[in-house]
Amino acid sequence: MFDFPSTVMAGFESSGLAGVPEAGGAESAEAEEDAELPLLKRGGSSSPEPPPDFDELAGGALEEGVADVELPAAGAEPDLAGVVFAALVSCVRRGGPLSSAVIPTGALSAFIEGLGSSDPVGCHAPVAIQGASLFRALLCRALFTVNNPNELPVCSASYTVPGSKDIGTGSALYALASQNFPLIKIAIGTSDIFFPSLLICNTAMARGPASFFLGAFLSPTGICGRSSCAAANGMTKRKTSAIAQQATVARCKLFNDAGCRSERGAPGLAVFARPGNPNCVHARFISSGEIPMQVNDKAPDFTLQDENGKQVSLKDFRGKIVVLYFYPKANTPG
Amino acid sequence: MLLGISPDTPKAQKKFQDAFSLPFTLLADADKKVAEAFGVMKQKNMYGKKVWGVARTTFIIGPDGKIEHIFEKVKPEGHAEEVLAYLKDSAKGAA
Repeated sequence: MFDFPSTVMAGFESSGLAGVPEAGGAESAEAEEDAELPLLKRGGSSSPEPPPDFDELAGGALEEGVADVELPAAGAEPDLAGVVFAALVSCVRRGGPLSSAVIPTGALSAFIEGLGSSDPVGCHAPVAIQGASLFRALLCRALFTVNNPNELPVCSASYTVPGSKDIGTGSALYALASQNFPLIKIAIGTSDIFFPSLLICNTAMARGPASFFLGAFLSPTGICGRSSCAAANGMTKRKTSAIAQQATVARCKLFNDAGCRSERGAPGLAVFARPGNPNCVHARFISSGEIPMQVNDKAPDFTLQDENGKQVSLKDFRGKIVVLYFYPKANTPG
Repeated sequence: MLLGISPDTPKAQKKFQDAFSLPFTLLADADKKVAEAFGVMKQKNMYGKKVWGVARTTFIIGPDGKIEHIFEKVKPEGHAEEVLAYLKDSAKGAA
């Protein structure tokens, strides 16, 4: 008879050959492998319960007293991951009947990517979001639907600086965002600034700052901005269908490392942030003028100085055809 | 009415205009507010660095103040002809 190393044997056991569902050796071996995913056990099929999928994960985490979850204060350490995880999941789960119905198509790749990487910690936003890739996977997968401010107390600070005096604290943003905006479609883009790994989530639905957990969010109708914890690169113009009418979503501006930058995009709420600077989170409403123009839109009026210092307004030329030619500043590319 | 608009200062615009004796008004949009309002800011690569700048874009704005046509990704060469052709065409269509 072969003398199986105990771990191998345990592996058999846990995969159903030996019929012993809980094998200590397998647990420890897997624990190592899954160090990044403490909640995701890859137990064999014969375990008393089927291996948890993300829905169950989410549900389990949710049921365990999420209501009492406290958000980590500024400077939270990654070991608060579980707590924040629960908070995030709760948001997802509170989202109403559609919560698990739609799976953004980018989820799988993002998850795989997330498994293989560990992110730098140092963003001022809650660390756990960046520090634990599993969260990202869940975020990608999740459909955030939040319909009123009361639904989102536990995690609403997750996209801003805890303790910030700016308007960017979670509840404030949420209150703003939830006032008038229709359901928005958020897109979480890729980042090459803060994360070494690629995160691609396609879209999720959100109303209010649930969408601000992570990454940029875009809206055909309401909101364009970016959370304090992630930047989105490559958020190119894309057609969004669903919900609102077909609309082209504007590209979100990347953060500039030199400081806070404004966002440009659909009218709505913008979140500005700068990595590493906890005081630099702001929110403001973008005026409706700042959306990319389309044919038949009314041209926004403006008044500028001409080359002689004379004030010229677009409305001066009402009744005439105006050819307005934008060109780059001298000595710049383009 | 032809208006050129760029983030240059009025002084720079004047210089530019004088240098090429341009017969049209050049507007100074130093803080790029108008460029943003029209959504023409684009990310560009400069020596591998990403910068935000104004993309060459032409808007045809009708007498009613509505945008009639947008030329994106304008190349300086041949663009005048392109715009002119468009204007002639639309004039014909209106007539």
